[in-house]
Amino acid sequence: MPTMLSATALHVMGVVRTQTETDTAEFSDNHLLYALRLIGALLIATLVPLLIDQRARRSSRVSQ
Amino acid sequence: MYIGHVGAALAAKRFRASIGLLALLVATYVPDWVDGGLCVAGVNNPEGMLSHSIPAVLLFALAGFSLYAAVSRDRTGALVIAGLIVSHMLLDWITGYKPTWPGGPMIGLRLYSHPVVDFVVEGLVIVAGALLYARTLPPRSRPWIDVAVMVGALLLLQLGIDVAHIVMKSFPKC
Repeated sequence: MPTMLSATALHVMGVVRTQTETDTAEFSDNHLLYALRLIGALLIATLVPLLIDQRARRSSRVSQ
Repeated sequence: MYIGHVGAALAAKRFRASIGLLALLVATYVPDWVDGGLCVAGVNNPEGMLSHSIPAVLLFALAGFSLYAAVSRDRTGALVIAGLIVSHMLLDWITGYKPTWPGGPMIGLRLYSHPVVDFVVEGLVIVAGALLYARTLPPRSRPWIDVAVMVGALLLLQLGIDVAHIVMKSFPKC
């Protein structure tokens, strides 16, 4: 199992390195926009439930 | 799957209440965070091969298990974290179209092209997760309010995404 995971990790690293070299030139402004949109969406999807949870636990303490 | 992953994180809270919700929310979105990182770095990630394929997700789950177990000394909690990371891939197979392994087939029901069906499916996961999560909240006089606020906010977020899918012809991730 560890050998298989190591081999997979090495393969993935190889793919990343090769594709980074060949595709960096194709990186455009659109990619940055899409990346910011994705990261923004992930932050919202993380922070909204987190803040609601904190509020729920805090108000539960107050109402007891 | 988009906001449905939050439903999985909320459900996981029921199985191990000692895990902070932040850790669960980060774990449930690990493949998407990797996607975002690769996108910023300008690395080509064809069809999400480096972030959503089976070997990639298994590696993330192993890393998540090791990291959480090392920090918290809670192996059961670490198993929940690893399971949550794997759940991302399984849920994406319902709504998306994802790679299996390098050279392998793509699988998934592609519900993103049917936003109404996608909303219903993700909504069901959100409601189920929120109902399980509700049992982790301390008792109060009107407990349903907290769950209603959580479900309402998450459904609104999901609705926004599905409407964007309807309005925009193309919705590239990176």
